[in-house]
Amino acid sequence: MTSQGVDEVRAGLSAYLTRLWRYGLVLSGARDVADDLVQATCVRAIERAEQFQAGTKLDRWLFAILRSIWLNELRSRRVREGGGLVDASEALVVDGAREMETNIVAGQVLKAVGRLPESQREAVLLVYGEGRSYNEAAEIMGVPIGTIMSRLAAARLTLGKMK
Amino acid sequence: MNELNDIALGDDALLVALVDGALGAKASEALRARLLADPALQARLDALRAGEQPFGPAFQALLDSAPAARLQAGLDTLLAARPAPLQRPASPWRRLALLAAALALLLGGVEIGRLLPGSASTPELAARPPTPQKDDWRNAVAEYAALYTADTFADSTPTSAADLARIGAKLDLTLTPERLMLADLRLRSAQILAYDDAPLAEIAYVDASGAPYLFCVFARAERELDLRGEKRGGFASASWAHGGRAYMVIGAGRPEQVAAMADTLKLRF
Repeated sequence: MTSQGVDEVRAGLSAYLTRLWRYGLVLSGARDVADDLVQATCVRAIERAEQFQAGTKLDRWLFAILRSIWLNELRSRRVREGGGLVDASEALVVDGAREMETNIVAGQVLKAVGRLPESQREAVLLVYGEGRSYNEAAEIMGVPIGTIMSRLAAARLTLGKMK
Repeated sequence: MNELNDIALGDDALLVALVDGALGAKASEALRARLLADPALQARLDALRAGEQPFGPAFQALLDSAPAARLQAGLDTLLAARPAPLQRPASPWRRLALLAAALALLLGGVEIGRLLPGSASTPELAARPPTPQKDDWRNAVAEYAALYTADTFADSTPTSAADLARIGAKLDLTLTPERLMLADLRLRSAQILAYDDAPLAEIAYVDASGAPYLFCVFARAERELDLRGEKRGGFASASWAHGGRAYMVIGAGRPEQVAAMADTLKLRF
């Protein structure tokens, strides 16, 4: 007999794939790494599905898994390949499916965000991009709430100077 | 958002919380008072505001550019390779002879409750109303399923989307060919039956060898039931209950095929 948690994970993964991909892209700055991160997260989530408590926040659980895989497994390789700090500004682009003007603005914003240090662009995605609360972002990033706020402030200061 | 009033924070953190509307009323008031008196602090606030961007639309655009189909295909492969843990009883497959009388009953849409073990024409059975136990409808379906063979569908035309919609409406359910589509199985027929005065939809598929599989939806509310595999009447079957309806899959094929069918349908219903 399957548990409710297992069912919820298997059925719910589908809904979060693109969000997970976006998260992976912001973290890694590379589309192929984002693909790998999503797939690895799905594998891990399915393997650990019995640990998931049905009715709790699935997206937070999945985001935490992806983050852990990035930090513990893929990040060091990516940083080595990138020759040091990861500049995500080239990978954070959008395709031409929208009106040109919307794309241009979105592209500029994403390029600027891509130049931020990893922890700041992650905070910007979680809070400003996804609309999560400081508390949620702090939980996902595993830091105190004050740290989230400092990172957002630092991001704002940098982005303000870029204009 | 939690209101931040009592946490000891640096000025930048306080200011950003104010800009983001995350600062509690008391702390906001105190901070605004300080800003009025402190031009340097106000300048800091302005610098933070200068970093404002249309983040929402930009990140939405990024989300929209995700390779959704490829990601889904990757997930489908994983899910198929790792079936959900399901009790799989060993069940001997057996073919059954077609009964002409049973076919007549099928076409007439007779109440399943009357198809009890033994002869349907036995007077005592005809007079006795079915006792509504929770499990009875599934047993009745299993008995009924035993009457199907590959020949049952050989000459019939497959059911149409309009038929599916009509049948679904009887159970207040949206039934479309897409929602019922299964890999390796062909949808052949759908019909409305009744058990104990509640509508029961029966959707029939055949596999490549012509072996029949039934997906039944019963509009009798049951408490939520997790997917469980069972052996009924010598067939592999699986059932669950969700949202006020009960579901059952039963088939003439291998238990793994029945389980896979149930897994897929349970994701959609």
